[in-house]
Amino acid sequence: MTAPAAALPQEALDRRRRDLADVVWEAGASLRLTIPLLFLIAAACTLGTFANPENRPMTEIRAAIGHAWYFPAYVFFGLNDLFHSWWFVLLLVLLTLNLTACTIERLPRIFQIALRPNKRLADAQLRGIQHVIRLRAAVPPANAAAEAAALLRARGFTPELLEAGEGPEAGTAFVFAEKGRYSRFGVWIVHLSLFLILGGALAGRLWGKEGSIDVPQDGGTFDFIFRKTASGTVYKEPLGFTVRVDDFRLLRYTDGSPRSYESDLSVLGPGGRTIEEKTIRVGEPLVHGGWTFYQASYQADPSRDRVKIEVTELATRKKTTAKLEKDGAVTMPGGTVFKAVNYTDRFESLGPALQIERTAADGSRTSFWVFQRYPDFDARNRGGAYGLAFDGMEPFYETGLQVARDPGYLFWLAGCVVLFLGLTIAFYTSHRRLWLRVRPDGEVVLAGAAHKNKEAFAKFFADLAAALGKAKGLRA
Amino acid sequence: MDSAFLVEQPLFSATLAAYGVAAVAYGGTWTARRAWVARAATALLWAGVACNAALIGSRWVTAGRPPFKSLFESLVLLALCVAAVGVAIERLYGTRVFGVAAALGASGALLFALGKWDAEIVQLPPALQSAWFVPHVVVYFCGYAALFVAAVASGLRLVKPELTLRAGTALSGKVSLDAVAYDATRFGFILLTVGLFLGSVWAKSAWGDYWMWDPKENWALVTWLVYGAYLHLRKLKQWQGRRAALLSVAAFGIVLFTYLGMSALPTASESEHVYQGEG
Repeated sequence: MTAPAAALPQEALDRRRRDLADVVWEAGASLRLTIPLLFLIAAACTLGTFANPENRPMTEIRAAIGHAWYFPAYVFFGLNDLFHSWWFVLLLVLLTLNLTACTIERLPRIFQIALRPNKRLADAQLRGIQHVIRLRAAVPPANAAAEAAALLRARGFTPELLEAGEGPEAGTAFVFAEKGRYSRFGVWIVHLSLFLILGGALAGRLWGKEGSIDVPQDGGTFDFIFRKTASGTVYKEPLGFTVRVDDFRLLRYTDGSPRSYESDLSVLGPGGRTIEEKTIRVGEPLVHGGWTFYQASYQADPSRDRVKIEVTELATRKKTTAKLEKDGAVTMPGGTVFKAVNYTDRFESLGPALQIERTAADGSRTSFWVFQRYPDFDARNRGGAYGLAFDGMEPFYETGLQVARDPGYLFWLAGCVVLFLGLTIAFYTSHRRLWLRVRPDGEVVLAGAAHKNKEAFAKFFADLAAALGKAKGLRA
Repeated sequence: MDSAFLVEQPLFSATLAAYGVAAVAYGGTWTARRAWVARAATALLWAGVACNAALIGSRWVTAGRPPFKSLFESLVLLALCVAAVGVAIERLYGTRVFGVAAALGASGALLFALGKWDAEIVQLPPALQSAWFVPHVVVYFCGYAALFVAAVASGLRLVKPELTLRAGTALSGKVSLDAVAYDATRFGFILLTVGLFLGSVWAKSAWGDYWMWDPKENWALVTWLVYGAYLHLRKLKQWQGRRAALLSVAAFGIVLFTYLGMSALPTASESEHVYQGEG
């Protein structure tokens, strides 16, 4: 502290401190802070599309650019995960504080205007009002006011008739009417919605959890998910219950492109009892116990692909079907065993084919091929008690599930809806006010103002003034 | 480009022709005194809108899905939105001053589409088969069209600041270019907000996250923030004329990049937002 400042009396010091606080507050509650913040956040988002677009974990990034001179800065500014970096969050916090300060600074005045208007027109007010015209009354003030009120009522207003009572304005009649008071709050509804949205995002960050898991399609179960942190470490997050994947289907269009992925999920309760079942698809998740299970992806597992075969007992035409993994076998009632040993998707020009090894009841082995395109081939040509048909290959999949809980999502939803409402109110409605004063000497003043959409109001006011001028008890 | 395309798709040719001639006729209204020129311009723009809507309708039926998947399809939709917003502005403000821009913008989108034409109709992957798809896309494109009009009004404001809009050809009363730019931006901003919201709800239902910092999301947010800043700046005295107009034009550059520039970004190829046939 400099010597002269130290010499200042306590009172002056306090004032200086207050001045500083005022300056900080004024800057914080100013639009001049909002705008740079908006541009900075926009610039940060732009940078975010380039900083780590592939979302690579820090370990990989270190390996790639760890030696570079700028690497310490990269780490300091958290550019691997810019949107969760301290400075990006700081920008959002500053924006929130700015928003709060602006609200506190301006809201009381708006409440004053919207909720406690000066209903009795005073001369001092006139200069601040956009539209003012003067007329003469040919009838007593109360009658003239009633006539004007009727005109306002016809235009959808609900006018209030007021008497001045005692004092200098004794005998004067006043009319006050307004529409669209809520419009004053449009901007503040928009800002409130941003609190909801940012609050929702914060809640999601603090209490939300998400992860993923790949589960075999044939009854695989899981009671945890894998969560991945920004640094690249993966850990298990328990769900608190068990989910079973009963089946997974990949449906295709005729051109072969995927039409739908779907998984049949069962939520298991105590003792393995099924307590909830649902087929989930992309866009149709399962919600249970606060967690939501999304169909996110799938992985093929060729080592577990299965072949479908149909065995016909030639004497009785009785058919048995089976799905076999590689080296899987089906045993017939008489003891004959058919084992799938080899698959090819092109057996010369005959297409997909499957090699079967037959073990008879006496232990003797033979081997032969069956063809998907020629289902009768084996029954007609090989001879024996059974005819085999190859129904094709069924690929084996693991379904890829995304699992999340986000307590902030409802805030986000509410915030977006409120934001839309607020913008609509702020942009397309206006608060319109009309005052009429009739003095005992016959002087009539009509005043009106709209806080937005002023051209439309000017027209409305001119029409109203013309109608008043033509009214029985009034003259232009 | 398949040259048979113009023959096969008379609707496309009719739409393009209507917009093209409308642009010329609207240009004529700037100098011609005859009222029929102005009326013809308006009629042509309406005819273009009708053919364009029919074109989208027919492709919708042929494809058996909303035709907003490929870049070609999105450009055809954009043309419709630009022309429709042009028609709306003409009626709202009683001026034909933006007719040239709307008709040129719409025909420009169609000409660009011609170069990106995809003969083969691709099926929708699971993530795009959603009830949110059509509203999300249509709302965004109407928003882009409104912001295009705002940018045109701002651009005119920069070139001819004293120009006001006269009815018939150009202005009834005193609607200023500045006011049109501001109105169009506010309307566009609401649509950007709704589009962003619809997209996030959709993403949540498909992938479990309403916000994933996907490049398109990111740039959509940048667009939203910049227009948000524009709307705030308009409250400051020194930002109501020329500077606001400059910002409006620059902001539309960001819109264009958000629409067409995603394929230039690293890893955008994994995004559902990069159009088939883009790049």
